Amino acid sequence: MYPHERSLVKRLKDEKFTLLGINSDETPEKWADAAKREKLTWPVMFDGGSINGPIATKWGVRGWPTIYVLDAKGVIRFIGVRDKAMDEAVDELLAEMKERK
Amino acid sequence: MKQFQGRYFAAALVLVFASKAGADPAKDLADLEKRFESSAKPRKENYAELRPGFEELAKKHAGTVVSLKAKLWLLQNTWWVKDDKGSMEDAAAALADAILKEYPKAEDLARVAEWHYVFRKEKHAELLAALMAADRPDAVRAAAGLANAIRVKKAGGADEAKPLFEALAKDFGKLKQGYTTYAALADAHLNVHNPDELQIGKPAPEIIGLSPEGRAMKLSDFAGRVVVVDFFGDW
Repeated sequence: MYPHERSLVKRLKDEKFTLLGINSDETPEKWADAAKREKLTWPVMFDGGSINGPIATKWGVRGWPTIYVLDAKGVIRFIGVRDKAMDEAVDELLAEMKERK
Repeated sequence: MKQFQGRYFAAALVLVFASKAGADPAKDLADLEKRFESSAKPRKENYAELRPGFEELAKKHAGTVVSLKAKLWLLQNTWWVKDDKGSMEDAAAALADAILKEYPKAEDLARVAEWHYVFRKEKHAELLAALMAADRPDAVRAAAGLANAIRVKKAGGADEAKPLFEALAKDFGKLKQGYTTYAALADAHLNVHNPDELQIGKPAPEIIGLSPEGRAMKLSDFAGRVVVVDFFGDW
């Protein structure tokens, strides 16, 4: 998972794109360690140290990873896309944003 | 002074022998837990193999924290006999009763509240009522209160559970649960997004939270950008 996301973030570093992680690990150190070990740079919110944290609870998340892809207007456009499908979804939305300008 | 030194020396000797002889029960427990976590065998098999070790520790050091932790492990892991649901539920009920009786004030009882999946529904409700009693530690009362509100929500619906979450926020709101608070958890349960609103074509609801370093963050910080929201864990 990390290698794919790292390459996506790297490829799109000059685009209006953000990968936002919502982390359900038990301690904040886990992400800090992974970020250092895997050289990960994207923003992360720490959801209180449990899979039953406040954010996952509000969103009804029951499986990990759970993915939502939002367009530049904040509308949900794709759900559950992984790997290549995630890349294609993001590319499509970035292209759409440029066309509109 | 001389007498004190003598006693100190004797204590040091005991320590040396204890650690050498493998008579450090906390270490024995940690070793067993590590063996369970790191084994490549199927969990169920692994549980059957290690269970006697936990039982022996629990018995040998009865009344100590090590015994409590061993019994909690045995309780949580009754899950691995779930194929025989009746046996699992019987074993879990007996263990939970014994633990509550033996350690009525232990903060670790909070964990029992969360293991709804090993109990019969009625037994879980009964245990939560016992754990919410006024003479339990606050950490236990709050954990049982949250588990009970979730139980009622599943059984009777959000409206029925609402006053329970509100009471939890009022009584234990400031109390920490992991890195969050019971106020934040109660609020989340009271404001769960309608699944129909989390569909393709719908605007994503705001997300407000903290970075792992404790810095305030929100989804709208990234307005005007394409965003992948990725709920994940490093497990």
